[in-house]
Amino acid sequence: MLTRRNVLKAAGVCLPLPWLETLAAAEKQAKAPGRAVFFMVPSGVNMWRWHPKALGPDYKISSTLAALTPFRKELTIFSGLEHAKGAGGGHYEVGVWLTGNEKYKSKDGPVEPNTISIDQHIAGAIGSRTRIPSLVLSAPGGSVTTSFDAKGTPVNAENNLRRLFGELFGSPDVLSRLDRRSSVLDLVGEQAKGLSKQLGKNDRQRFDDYLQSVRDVESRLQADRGYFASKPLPISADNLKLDVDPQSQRQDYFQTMLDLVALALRNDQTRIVSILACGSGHEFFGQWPQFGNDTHHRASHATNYDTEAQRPKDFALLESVDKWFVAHLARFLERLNETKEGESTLLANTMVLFGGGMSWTHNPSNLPMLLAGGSRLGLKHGSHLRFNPHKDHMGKLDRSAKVQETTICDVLRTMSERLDVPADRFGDSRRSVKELLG
Amino acid sequence: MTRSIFAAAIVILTVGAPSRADDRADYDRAVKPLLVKHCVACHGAEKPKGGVRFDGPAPDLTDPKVAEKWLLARRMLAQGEMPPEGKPRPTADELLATMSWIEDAAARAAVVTRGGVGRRALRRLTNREYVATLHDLLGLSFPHATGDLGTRLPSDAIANTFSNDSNSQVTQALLLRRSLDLAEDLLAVALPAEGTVKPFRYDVDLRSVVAEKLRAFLAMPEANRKGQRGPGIGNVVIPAHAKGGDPAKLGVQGGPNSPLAVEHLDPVRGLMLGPNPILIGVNRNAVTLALPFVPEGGVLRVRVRAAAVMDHDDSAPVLRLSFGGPQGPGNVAYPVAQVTVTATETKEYVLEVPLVLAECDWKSFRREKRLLVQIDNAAAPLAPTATPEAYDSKKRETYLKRNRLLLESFCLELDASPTWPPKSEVVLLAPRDGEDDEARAKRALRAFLSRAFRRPVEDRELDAFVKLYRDQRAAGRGFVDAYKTAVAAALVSPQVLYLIEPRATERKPLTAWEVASRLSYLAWNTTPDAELLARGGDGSILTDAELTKQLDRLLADERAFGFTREFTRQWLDLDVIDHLAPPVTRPTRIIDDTSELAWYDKAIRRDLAAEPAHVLLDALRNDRPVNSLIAADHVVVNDRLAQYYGVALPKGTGWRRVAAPENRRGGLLTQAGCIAAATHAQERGEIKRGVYLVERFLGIDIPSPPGNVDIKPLDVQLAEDKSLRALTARQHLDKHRTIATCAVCHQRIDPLGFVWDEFDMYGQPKRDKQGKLVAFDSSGTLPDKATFANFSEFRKLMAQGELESRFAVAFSQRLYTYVLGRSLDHGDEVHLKTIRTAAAKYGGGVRALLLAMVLSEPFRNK
Repeated sequence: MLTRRNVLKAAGVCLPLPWLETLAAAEKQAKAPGRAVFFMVPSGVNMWRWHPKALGPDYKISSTLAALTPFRKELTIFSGLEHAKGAGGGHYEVGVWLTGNEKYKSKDGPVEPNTISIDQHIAGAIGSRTRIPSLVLSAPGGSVTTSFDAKGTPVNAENNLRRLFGELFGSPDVLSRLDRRSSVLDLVGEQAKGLSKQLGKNDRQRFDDYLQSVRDVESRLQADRGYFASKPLPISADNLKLDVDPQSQRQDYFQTMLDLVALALRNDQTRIVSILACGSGHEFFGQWPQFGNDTHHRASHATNYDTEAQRPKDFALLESVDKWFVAHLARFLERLNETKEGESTLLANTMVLFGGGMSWTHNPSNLPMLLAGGSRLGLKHGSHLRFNPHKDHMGKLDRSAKVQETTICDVLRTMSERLDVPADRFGDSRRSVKELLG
Repeated sequence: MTRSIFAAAIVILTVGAPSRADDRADYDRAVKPLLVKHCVACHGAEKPKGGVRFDGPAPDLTDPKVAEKWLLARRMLAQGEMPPEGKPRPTADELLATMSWIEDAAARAAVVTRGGVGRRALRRLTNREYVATLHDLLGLSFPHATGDLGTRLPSDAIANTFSNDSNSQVTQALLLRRSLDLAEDLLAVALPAEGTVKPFRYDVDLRSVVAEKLRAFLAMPEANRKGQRGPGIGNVVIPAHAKGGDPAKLGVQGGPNSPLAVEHLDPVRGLMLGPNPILIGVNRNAVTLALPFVPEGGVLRVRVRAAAVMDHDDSAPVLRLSFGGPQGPGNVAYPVAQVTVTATETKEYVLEVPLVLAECDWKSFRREKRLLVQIDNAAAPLAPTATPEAYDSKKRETYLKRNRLLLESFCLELDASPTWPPKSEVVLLAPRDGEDDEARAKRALRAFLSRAFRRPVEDRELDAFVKLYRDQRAAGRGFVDAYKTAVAAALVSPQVLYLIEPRATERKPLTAWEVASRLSYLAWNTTPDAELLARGGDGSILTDAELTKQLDRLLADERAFGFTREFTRQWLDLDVIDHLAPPVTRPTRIIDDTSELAWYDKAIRRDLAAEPAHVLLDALRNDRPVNSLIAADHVVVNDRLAQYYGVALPKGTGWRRVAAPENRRGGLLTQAGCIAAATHAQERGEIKRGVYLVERFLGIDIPSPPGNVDIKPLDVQLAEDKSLRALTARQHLDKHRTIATCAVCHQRIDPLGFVWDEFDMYGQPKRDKQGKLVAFDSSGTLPDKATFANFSEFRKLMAQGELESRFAVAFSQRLYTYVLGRSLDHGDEVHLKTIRTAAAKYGGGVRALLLAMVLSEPFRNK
């Protein structure tokens, strides 16, 4: 329901009316585009309370995921999901989550280059359709990311909300910078045209490539300029909490970041987003005062295959952190759900993969993961699906259920295919996950 | 026998003959039957699938769209994608005929599109050329900075040809955008914006710090310092110099060979750093200086008074500068510059790092408002140490007997005075008395553009750039800002990005400026220097004598390494070496605790990839015989490679020439890098090796195998078909050669597959599991049926006949392709003959060959 109030709530600020009209105009498009968001929270969870017990559509939602109850019909919970060959064990989880590259080891920096991650794979194919091909975000920023380019190098992640805001909505000097580039392009274009006359026919044809490039860069520039000029700082940054510290003000930080992401998707500035909550085992979020300044990573190590009764404090800490992130996810899904797109909602056009790369004591099997949204892209939701024989809470291999072998890459590939980007040989993928398709 | 090789070469070269009538006849004979039989049913006049039709007359591949369609068709046929599954497959003969017709037609079309026989299409600078050009034009030089700025541009790697091949180059929007980004970044370094950079300076005298800490430590009662190896050094306050500012904090991080141990501390000389045993990550032996802020731009200069303490027979210490943040993610330190320290007496080493170009996690640094500058010793050992007793597995530390880096003092500074960096005078001339801004801008732009365009700028052109400056001023920008916009435009202008050689339809000689440019980009990979431009200006470079003189001058300069590196890298496919790291489980943190193959050390692979370039440069400068490149009784190696090859190298630094051991007397043919690149880390690499030798050393192009043949690597065949295991490798290869369609090419490839039987995939002598050398059989047959019983006979066959040897003929083709920046056409055969004759007259050396090429007609005409 796109009401003025809702958008304002989403932005948390006052918007001038013309912007809303632009939104309305965009809505009239025949078909809303598909989007994908990959949201990773590393370092493990309380496995006793993450997965629902029962499988199929009639599962009872677990206490950790309870905040997602309103979106039951819009999401699928996975059990037993993992990478082939147990890739991504321990703290290698981050580099492997979206690449499935079993050889990637990254504790103290990569030993060898990674392979491309699914978000960049998709962005490579359809990224050019939006002003920003893909957004790569992480709270620590820099090379701490789940996104890797075609050469296997980490894509530089943005962590500064003010810069993210500038990228999305412009900064005070953006127009003058674009103007300067524009004059540069005008000049070199003219030079090329002048020189072209001196060239033979064949060379002139080759020179056309250059002229075409000038025109292409110019048109991107015009798009940027038109975009930034038409709504010069439509949102006043004053009311947004853009300078919050990710560590000490994590609540505001994540809320603002996810709001900005929702707006970017809503505004079709980008269709592909990867978000990493923190580096694996980095203790990026430092201490959680409600637990006597204990740290998440330590608790995750301590829990082993113990029962909750054996380690009540550690499991409670894990659970509270899990719930904290799930609450952010729920709020994000709500943002997407309340934004109408034609007949459907932004959520129906956006696939959100959420989860981490560790289960019991840093194990890379039976990973806590779920997929939400994207029903209009052909995803069928509402179930708790189980794949692969996996280790139970005793650390024993559970073969009780007959299950399909399915890797995370299969899920990633399925998401990619929903956006019409073939990914049949992506990572270790061997199949599309038909169980997810309507 | 030499003749028949030559005949093979001619077959390739005559591809360029444009004869439309023959073309059509060939098409009707070779291609049409296949199309009619297999394609036209779906791709005919009636509802053509995918809108693609193959029922027309012989296509004209000079139309890029048509060429694209036919090359795609060729690829799909080759890979067996078409005809689609379930339809009858074409026979191998049909496929070969059709595929080679398409290839020939495409090659012929390439000649037409570039303006006819003997011409080259408009050529763009390659990525490496462009990066070097930007540096030279802006007067920037950061010889010690690590990191390859070329990676900021879209890759211009081109398969099967050189990246300077004008016909294969593409220019796209992304390239232009990235070029503009890079140009703007470098310009910001050359001409920092006024008033944005805050200068600072910190002086650290490690001798006094060490003396004080050591005195306090030794003053402690013996009992108190029991178990401690030395005093801790941390949080030593270093005041900012003169202009004020917050103090920085000095610290020393310990580890194996800890600099905190008493034996590494010397109150008179300073502090000694052992090498860091870590691949990537926190430098555990490091001197750190934490700046309480993050500089916004400018060039950070670090002057270090340092020396090498050469107690051991191993590599010299390497002074490395890294940036990091102690609280940073993963505690990663990003190396930004390094220099090898060879002086045994303390001397000053200066490392300069342009901050905007340093690739590191600036976001985290800014968040923490701190920049941690680290100095450590990054020497890689000559060979992986095989001294397990020095490894303490509990502490995961190695106690290495390695050469240490002595640090006496250092100074960290960033200067922002208006006249600094003085290099900026190169870009922007100093003002003259009574001159207004615009007059100065115009005068500076005239000087800059003439250098950038590699010829005097025309008034018309200059006016356009001055107008840009004027418009920027009118829009309210400052002088430097507006001037920089004009310079940025120049740096991405077509005049800089392309080697423009305007011409009419008829062929004519290059101008003197154009010759100077061609020569500079050939021998230096970068823009002409002042001397070359002067010779262009007075026209003297058009004479044989001056051209010869200039070529010699260029080859003697260190920039000539750029040429030999680019040429060998692409000719011999050396980039691949860096990626050939067969999976072996090993600790990720410490590299010295294994006695594994030296191959896994990055430094080895880097040096192996550089070796051919050093050999070629040595041969060029000393005008050694062409055939010495593959038949030499010496090797050109550094200490690390000497260790790899097991030769004793006299004391010295850098790459030196030394007598070759018995098994390394084949020049490039016995270099481990070439062997490894040829073998592609395959256990059964015979076929790969054969193809490599045939293509790169005999100059015969092998077509890709037809798609209807189920090709599997030999080791896969072995795994699937157990009966094959009974066969020897040779029998296995012989067997697959009995299939007629494979035999066409494989009778040329396979008999060369065992030339390197002596060597394993890393170019080391093959050994069994017990480490004993295994028997080998290098015998084989050349494509022209000459047989050889062992490697030395093979080498002899390749190298005999001076400049008409099998190798010299193939090598001169490859080199000429690079020199001309285009693929060869049938007209070049005559020139190559003349060139080899001329080169023989000049003495038959590599330099003579290159000179003859530079003096040849195609190089000097357009």
